[in-house]
Amino acid sequence: MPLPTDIALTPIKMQTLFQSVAMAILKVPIEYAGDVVSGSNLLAVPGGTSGMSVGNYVSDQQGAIQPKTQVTAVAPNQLTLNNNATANVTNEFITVSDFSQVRIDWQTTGQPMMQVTDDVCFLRALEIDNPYDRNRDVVVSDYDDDNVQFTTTYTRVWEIYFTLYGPNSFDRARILRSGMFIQDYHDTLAQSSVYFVTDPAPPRRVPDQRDGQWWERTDWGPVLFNEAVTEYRIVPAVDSVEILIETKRGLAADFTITKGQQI
Amino acid sequence: MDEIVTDSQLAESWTIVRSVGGSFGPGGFSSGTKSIPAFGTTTKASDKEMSMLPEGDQVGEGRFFYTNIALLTTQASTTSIADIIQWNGDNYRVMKVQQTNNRAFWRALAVRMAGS
Repeated sequence: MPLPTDIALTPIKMQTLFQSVAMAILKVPIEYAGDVVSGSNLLAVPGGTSGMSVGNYVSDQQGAIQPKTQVTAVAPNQLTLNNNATANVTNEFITVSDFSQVRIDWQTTGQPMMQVTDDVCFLRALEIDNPYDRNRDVVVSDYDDDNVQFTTTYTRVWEIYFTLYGPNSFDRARILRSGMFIQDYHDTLAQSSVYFVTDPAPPRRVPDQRDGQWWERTDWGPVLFNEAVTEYRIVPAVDSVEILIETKRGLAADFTITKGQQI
Repeated sequence: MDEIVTDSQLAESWTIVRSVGGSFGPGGFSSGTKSIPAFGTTTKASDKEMSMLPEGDQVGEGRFFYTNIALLTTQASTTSIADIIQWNGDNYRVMKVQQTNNRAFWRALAVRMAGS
């Protein structure tokens, strides 16, 4: 009996999930009309490449651009990519994603700073203590002649903190908060068994003083999310059972039942 | 000053590991590195000098590195983080850099990256 993989997110996976959701709510991925030629790493953008920069991720609807393709150079009407296109595409919607706009806290070796004029959201995920976390449901979910599979399900509670910097941070926090109530993002989170607790406190404006100037900042969080965790365990089935029957006069019977034996 | 910090009687060889070509992607920031041979002097930072760093960086050893090659802390760009100096078998993360390029040398305070 193969052991199924547990369904549980790590902090890194949780933060990456919320990075993609926050980027979608804040409309960071931008669509442009673009042309690519099979075998070439040049992406023509007739409408101009304003707002795009080196390191941005590029994708397209038809899959002509390989996964994890990034921009390596930007010209006024053309991007150079780090991968060659696998098909010809003309006037197709190309999505350019600037992940530097939604960053994840506590990177092992740190990460670059931003300008005071940049709108950047930082996020972090923490598991917290909560009464919902206490209840566990354990069931026998499968068995065969040799093994029994137990499935344990419970709710894990997470706090997500969003720290937004930049001149538009207060309004972006409002958009982020309202976005979490939208069905599309609920469905995205539900695919990872994560569910929004729909009573978040409003964002707070808390500018930072640093390096001789005030940095506009708005905090939203802690925002609670519940995660449905599923864990699997397989134990060997009982092979035989010895049964002892004792009466007041002593041992009356001693016999063993083995697997498959009829009584 | 650059002649002093690279004086053959005082200076020694070490390596600068510079973050290059970094970018933000799903899950955070990642970058490549390139090694730059450096030659300069190094001294141990005093307790008072270490006390100016964030508390978590005060635990290990801190050293000053002097060289005629520009040393970088984390930049306000989207491509690079602070230099790491490889000296005497250990890695040291550059925390502060004194701008003395008009004297043709750089002085950097770096802390040892224990466990790296």
